Amino acid sequence: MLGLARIGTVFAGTIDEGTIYRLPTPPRSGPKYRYMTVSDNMDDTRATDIITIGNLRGARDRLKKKPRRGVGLEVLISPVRKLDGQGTARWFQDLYELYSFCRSSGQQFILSSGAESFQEMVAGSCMDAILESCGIDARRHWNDLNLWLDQKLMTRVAQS
Amino acid sequence: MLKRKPKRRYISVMRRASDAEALSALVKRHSELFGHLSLGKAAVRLVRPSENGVMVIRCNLGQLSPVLTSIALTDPAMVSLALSGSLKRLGDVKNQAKY
Repeated sequence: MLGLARIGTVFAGTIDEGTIYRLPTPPRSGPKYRYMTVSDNMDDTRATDIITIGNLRGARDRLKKKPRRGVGLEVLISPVRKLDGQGTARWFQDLYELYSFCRSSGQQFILSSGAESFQEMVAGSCMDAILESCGIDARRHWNDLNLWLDQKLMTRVAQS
Repeated sequence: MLKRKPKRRYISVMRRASDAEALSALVKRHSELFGHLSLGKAAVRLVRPSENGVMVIRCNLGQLSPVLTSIALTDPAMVSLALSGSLKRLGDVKNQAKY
């Protein structure tokens, strides 16, 4: 309904085929579901698939010191709802800078709703509008993200 | 002189607050982010009051992207469920509110 082909969510015990689960650490035995490890610690680039960036300001400089290709750098939309116009405009600028950094350094840029309920989710069309508002080609972004996800999940299946 | 009707888009939006509050929050956010000029061009209107928490709004096609951005970034949160060029095709609002 929201135009989202894949959804990532916290693992709550029940397995849904189309969902990619977000885990803080990799499970001990080979799980029967698809997962990604997520952390909000920027110094933790070696152990995790996705790093959630809370504060976009200065994130690029901090991440430059921890080079590791193929890590997903995730930015959440939900905290931006609380920002005023000026803060949001700055966020848009930082978002584009992070996107450029990701493209030049081989990291994967991820824009996520950060939703904790259905009413906080962001539709695909709104995601596209946000991306285009900051000068990012939405179609290219989704293609890159799909490729990155498939690659990550494929290596995981091969390992388990 | 050509009298061409501007193309519009109808958006069904799930919201927590009342219709008036949600629309006013959306309009405020839009003018904060894109300015009064864009807001004027967008001509955002409430078309159908809410049924099961889903209201239908209308905007001009040329300003669709700023309106969708504003929907995603408005507090309290609201979700755009469907988008169409006509009210008929937007489908039954009741069916969209089952979540």
